[in-house]
Amino acid sequence: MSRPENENSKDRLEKTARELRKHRPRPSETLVSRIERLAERGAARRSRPTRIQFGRRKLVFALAAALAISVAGAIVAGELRQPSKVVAIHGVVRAGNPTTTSGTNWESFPGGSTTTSLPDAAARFQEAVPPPSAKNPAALGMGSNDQTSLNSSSAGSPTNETLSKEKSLQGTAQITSGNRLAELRAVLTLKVENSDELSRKTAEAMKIARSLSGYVVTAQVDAPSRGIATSYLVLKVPAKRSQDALIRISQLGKILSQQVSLEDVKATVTAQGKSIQTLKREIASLERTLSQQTLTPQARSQLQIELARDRARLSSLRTQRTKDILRGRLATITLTLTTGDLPKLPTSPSRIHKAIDKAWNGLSSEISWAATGLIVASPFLLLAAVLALLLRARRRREERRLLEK
Amino acid sequence: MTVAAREKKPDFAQAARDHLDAVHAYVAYLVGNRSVAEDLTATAFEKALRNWARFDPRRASARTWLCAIARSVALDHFRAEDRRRRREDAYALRQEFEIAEPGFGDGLSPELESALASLPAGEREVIALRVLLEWDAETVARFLGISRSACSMRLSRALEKLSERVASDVEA
Repeated sequence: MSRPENENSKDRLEKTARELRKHRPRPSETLVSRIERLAERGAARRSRPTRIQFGRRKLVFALAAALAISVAGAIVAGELRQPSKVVAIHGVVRAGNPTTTSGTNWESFPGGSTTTSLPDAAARFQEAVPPPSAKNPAALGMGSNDQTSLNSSSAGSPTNETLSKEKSLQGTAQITSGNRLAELRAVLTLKVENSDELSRKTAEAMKIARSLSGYVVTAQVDAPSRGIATSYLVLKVPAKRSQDALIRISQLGKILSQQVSLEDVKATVTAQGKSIQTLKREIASLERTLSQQTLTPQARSQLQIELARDRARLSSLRTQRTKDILRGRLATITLTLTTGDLPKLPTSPSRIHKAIDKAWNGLSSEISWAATGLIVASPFLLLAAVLALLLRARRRREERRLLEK
Repeated sequence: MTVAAREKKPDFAQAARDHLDAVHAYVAYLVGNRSVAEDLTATAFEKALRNWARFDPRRASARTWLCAIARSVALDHFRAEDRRRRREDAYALRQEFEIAEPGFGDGLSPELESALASLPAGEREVIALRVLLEWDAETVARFLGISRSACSMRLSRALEKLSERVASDVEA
């Protein structure tokens, strides 16, 4: 196209545009009055409170609030998730600090089991244990072990034995369940002078267990030519003689740490006994019914199935009961003899640290739940996104088609 | 929405009075029929009143927002018309109605009027936005969801067609 033609065309377009602007469609009076009425309605509506707008800033606030709520929830959940039904019993004596007392932290719950953890023990017993007194010989405020008393005790002199027992009572956690059937577990770490003594004391510990009608479950001795020598023993002794065993074993060296836990099994065994009686009655009743000749074959087979099931349950219950009784009758003593010192216990975390830990645990579980939800929902979300995109493309195509007409 | 932004937000009555002219012109060009345009404009303003709380002046001006509502109303109308035509085609009842009154403004030359009517709605729409409402190319492109160059191309093509048809009508 030549320049005059181009200019001509441009002029023509401008002229057309001018004409269009000049004769722009105007709304009729009717429309203006309709809109006026709407405007009046809009003005009347203005005084009403507007709907809550979720702008970006509000969304940020909402997210921050949700985060704060989840953190608070995590803290609350962490506080509520305190271990229940726990009796913690600890006694710890630090090597090289003979004046440091060991002790017990008792938190009694009816029919409770016992669990322990060293850091908690170290933290709690200082504040929880009453100071030792002469009136309370069983209280666990103790000094270090005395090798002399150990020697005299092993010599078997009656006077010395009494003395040594008294002294050893001061160094060992005394936990008894009275007449109740309870499973006792003790974990002791003792320090000995050198490798030779370690071997000797290990053998002596095994001898003690056997002398008390117990037996050795595990025995491991690791005595390298250099460095720290260690031996590890798991002993089973009759529960009635467990205190004796503990006293004698604790005299084998300087107590570095001890944990004694007691779990009541009497209630379990009693409940099992009742269940066994009930099952026996049921079996007897079934057998009586089966002996009748009037039963239909179908009813008979049904009863036989029930009888077999009950017998199997009875057998399983008996086995379990026997195991539980054995657990109560035999105490487990885990003994570690070492020539080195106990590794330094981690310091007890402060209340704030504990709260942060609990909050973090709670938050982690919330995050894991959220992540699980997201993973489960992600295929559906992806599908929904694809669907939304398809619908949008379809709508655009349709709009284009409509506007091309 | 902040207090300042809320203060800037015009009330509906004011916005309706200010932009009725523009919205009506836009709808009239889009549908090409004056009476239909009036109905659709009224419908668009009713819809706008219902949704006025959602209007955010930071995202678009009141005029753009009202035009967007008017466009959606007009598209709904086109869809309904499309369905009606298809139904009538199926029953062979289709009847073409002549536009009885000027669709694009009083005083337009009959050649320009018929040339405008012969353009597709999409091209009339871009003419209305760029020429009548005098929006810049960027705003129109964003409004229509197309690129700026596509918008300019559509406008120049529409005006070209318009001029050619007017010229051919005059010559005829």
